[in-house]
Amino acid sequence: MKLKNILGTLLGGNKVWFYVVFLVGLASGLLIKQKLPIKFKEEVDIIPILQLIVTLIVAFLITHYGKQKADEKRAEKDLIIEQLNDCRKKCREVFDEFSGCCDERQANAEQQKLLKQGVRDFANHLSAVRRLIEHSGDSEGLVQQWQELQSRYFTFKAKITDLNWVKDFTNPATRSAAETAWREAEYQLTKLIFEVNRF
Amino acid sequence: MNIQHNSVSQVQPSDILPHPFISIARDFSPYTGARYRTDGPGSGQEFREDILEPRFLQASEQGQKLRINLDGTEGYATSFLEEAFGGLARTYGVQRVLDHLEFQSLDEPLLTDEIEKYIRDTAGRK
Repeated sequence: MKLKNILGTLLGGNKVWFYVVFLVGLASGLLIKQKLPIKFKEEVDIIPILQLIVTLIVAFLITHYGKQKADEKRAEKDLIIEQLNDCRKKCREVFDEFSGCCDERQANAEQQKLLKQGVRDFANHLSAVRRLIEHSGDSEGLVQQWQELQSRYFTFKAKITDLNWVKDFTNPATRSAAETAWREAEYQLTKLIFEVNRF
Repeated sequence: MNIQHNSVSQVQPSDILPHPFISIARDFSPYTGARYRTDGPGSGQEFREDILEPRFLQASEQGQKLRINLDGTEGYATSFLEEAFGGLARTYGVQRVLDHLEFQSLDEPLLTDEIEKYIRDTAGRK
């Protein structure tokens, strides 16, 4: 049986600690009964017992379904964050590839292809994030942040691909413009991750 | 059940004629290049002047939408897209271009937003 009660949560689901606390509680109860002059009523009053049972059932249901809902929300958030981390990784890869071209002062056909495919992968991760955000419901703030990220992506892509592949790599400003755009995109990705954690 | 029938006079030419269509990979090149012809083969300028513009004008005169399929290429540089579609909007106006072009892409769905941005951005630059 899973320890889904409050004690289980407090003890981090550790069964050994659960039994230790249970035994300590039992021992304390017996000790108190022996040492303190506490008297229990002999007859059983059914109303308070029913109240107690109903209270326990309600508490269990609230804990169980509340936790289930929280778990589902967390899984949604984790999925979006995973996609955003893939975006970040792809963005970094594209910039590294571009930076390599700047070092060589040219982008050959194979490198141009890699850059175009890299930005395409980045764009497709962004599309996936958008679909997840739309699916997650109450997300107006997230959509706004996503649109801002899309705008940074367009800028980043322009700095990487709106070039003369021969001449522009000899210009040092090319790399710094791309680096600025990359950092802006990274910053927006981080902001979106924070926003996802908040919603 | 309410069934509507169009009379002959209500039917538009665009309802009968098949949509004009361009597949960039098939009709132009799967290896698209940069902005100008001077930048090398497969440029945005080359695509616009040789393929896009004549078919756009034809579709526009017939009151139809020209469908452009963007799939099957190895990817697009911003320079290619801006020169091809932004360039068309600079010549014929943003609204006319938006009214008569339609984009399709399964490979990269975000391309549609990107191209529409370049078309709209030309309004500020003209």
